[in-house]
Amino acid sequence: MPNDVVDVLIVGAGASGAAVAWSLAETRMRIVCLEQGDWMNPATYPSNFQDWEVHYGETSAISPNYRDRDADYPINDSESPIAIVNFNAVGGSTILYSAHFPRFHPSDFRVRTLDGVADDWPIDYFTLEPFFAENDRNMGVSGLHGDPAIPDHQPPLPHIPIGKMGETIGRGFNKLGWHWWPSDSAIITEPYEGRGQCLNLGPCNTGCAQGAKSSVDIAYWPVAQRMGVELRTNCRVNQITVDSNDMATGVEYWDAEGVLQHQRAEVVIVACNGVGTPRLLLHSKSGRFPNGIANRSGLVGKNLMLHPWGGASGLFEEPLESHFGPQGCCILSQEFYETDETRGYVRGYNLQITRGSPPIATARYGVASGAIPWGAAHHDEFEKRFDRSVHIGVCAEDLPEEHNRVVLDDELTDSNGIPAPRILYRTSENSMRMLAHGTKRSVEALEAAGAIEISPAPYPIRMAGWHLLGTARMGTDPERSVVNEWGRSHDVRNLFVVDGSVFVTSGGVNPTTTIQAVALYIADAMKQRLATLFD
Amino acid sequence: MTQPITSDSPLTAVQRAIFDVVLDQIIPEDPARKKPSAADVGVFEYILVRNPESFDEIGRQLDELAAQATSSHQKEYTELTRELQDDTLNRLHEQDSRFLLILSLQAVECYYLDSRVMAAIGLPARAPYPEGFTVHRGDLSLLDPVRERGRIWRRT
Repeated sequence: MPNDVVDVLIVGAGASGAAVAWSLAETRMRIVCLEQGDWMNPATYPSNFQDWEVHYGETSAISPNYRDRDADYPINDSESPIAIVNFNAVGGSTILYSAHFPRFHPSDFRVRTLDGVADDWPIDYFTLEPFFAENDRNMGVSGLHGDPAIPDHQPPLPHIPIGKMGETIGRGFNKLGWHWWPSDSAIITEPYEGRGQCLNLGPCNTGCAQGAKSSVDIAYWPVAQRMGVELRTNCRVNQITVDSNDMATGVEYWDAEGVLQHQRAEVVIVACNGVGTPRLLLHSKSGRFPNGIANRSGLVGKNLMLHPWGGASGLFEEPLESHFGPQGCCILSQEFYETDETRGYVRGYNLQITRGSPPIATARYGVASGAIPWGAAHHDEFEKRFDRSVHIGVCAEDLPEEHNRVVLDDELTDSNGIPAPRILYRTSENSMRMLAHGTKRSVEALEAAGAIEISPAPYPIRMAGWHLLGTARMGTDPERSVVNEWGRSHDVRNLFVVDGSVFVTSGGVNPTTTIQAVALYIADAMKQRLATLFD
Repeated sequence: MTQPITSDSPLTAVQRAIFDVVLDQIIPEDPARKKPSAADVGVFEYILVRNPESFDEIGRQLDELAAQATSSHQKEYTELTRELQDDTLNRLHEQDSRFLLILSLQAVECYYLDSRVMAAIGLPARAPYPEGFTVHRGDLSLLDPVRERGRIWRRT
């Protein structure tokens, strides 16, 4: 009887949906999760093959428009300088993420109070602290205790190896007197919870064949399923249904056979990320909600934040073994994370130092840029570049602006005819100044570390819209927010949003650990209020 | 690596001979480094499997090289000295850079998968998984100045 009323229906099996499913499972309620993608098979990931670099481009493309798997929906991002990238499967974008796992800072939740911009969150870092720790344990996070840039915490596993490359850049930061630290990483460095440790395969962002990278299909879902959560794959939700009392009644979805179903539920939780969630809410129109469910504030889809990226690459004289190790995780610097108004912008950014390019990428980039010529000199120039490159990424805090938004496209649809999301986004002047500053500091850091050739990247980098935040923001005022301080819709008392959509600000770091901490916090708030959840 | 040219080959025998010369011009053998020529790593077969439609353009450009060799030097391209072959290829590149770029990008993809090349650059000829690689943990005493500076996160 698949369409009986279930207690909790979760839409989306990615980072936040998995965390909330796991947390609510202990209530023994009947919980069903609908996921438009399928389970991934790690045996198909590129690092199983000698020609993994070629497979990377073919099977692990980060843009859904290019990848175009059955589970994907197109995204019209032609009106944004930053393209939207994601993955649709059990595990969501954690399948391809780098697992760089820094937390938001306490100041990120108080930007109005501290810096007079955007809004404060209705919750703070210390409210989330136990959920950060819980998520670290569930995911399996590696790190080094004692980072002075973030409140004290103890990752459960030893830090990721930084290698000769991390040491080299670290010495550069030391010369400048800047902060640096081994990154918290959602990659297990020792056997953990039945999973094998990281083997330094390299291409984490093509899926981890070893299962050491903590994508949530590995870290959360098997446990949640053992606890009784039902996960239905290849099920694409069309809309959330609602009754005359402004209560969600369930969702309409196409099942794996393509049959339109209606799954009734007492509680609906949306966990489709900062683009997919507003798309679903806006598409769920009814007489009660002609502008989309939970959208009486008119803010669904607005305040999209994307983390504009910049950076620089450096070449070193000595081999650094830089193409070995987890691609996106080595060290970070948060020297410029907090506001300093003398820099010409407010808020700040994280510097993420990532591993060097593997052989084919080195050769392809060198040939395309002209740095590696054809002819006998090919060998000399390749040798100067391979195993000697380091990349520094600038992850800039993006402040919320209502004109940056997700709307429904008038023409483009997915394979079920659901309107595609259309992204209307401009990079702010504050972000551009921040990226200019961050790019210069990246160049300085590489110079200090001894780089002999440095290439700053044009910014904002287009294919970098991983972090999808702010489009169903949290707050206490129903006119200025979509959900309340524990994730419940102001308009629909049994509808919750638990993904990055609820973020009030974006911070200046990769957001997955904070997204999951917020999801666990919301799940905990629901459990605390089970008897009065709809009051 | 000599491969038989079958009747359904996208290149004629003449084109294929020029193709091999051009690959050798792009990445010649380097005996000191124990690196083979790009003409000896199976680029033809690689393109045939992955991007066969590119042979249409490649064939046209190979014909152009042949024509230029004949018109400028009254010889087949394959019979020119390496210096004249390079001059001819450079001239074509100046007229239209796409040919050499497209061919070079596919050639390096194939080249850096060859087990001899991988060995020459210090890599085992195998998939990363399951054996993986070793990365040393790093000297954490380098963090002493960071620790000594103390807390930098902003209190709220």
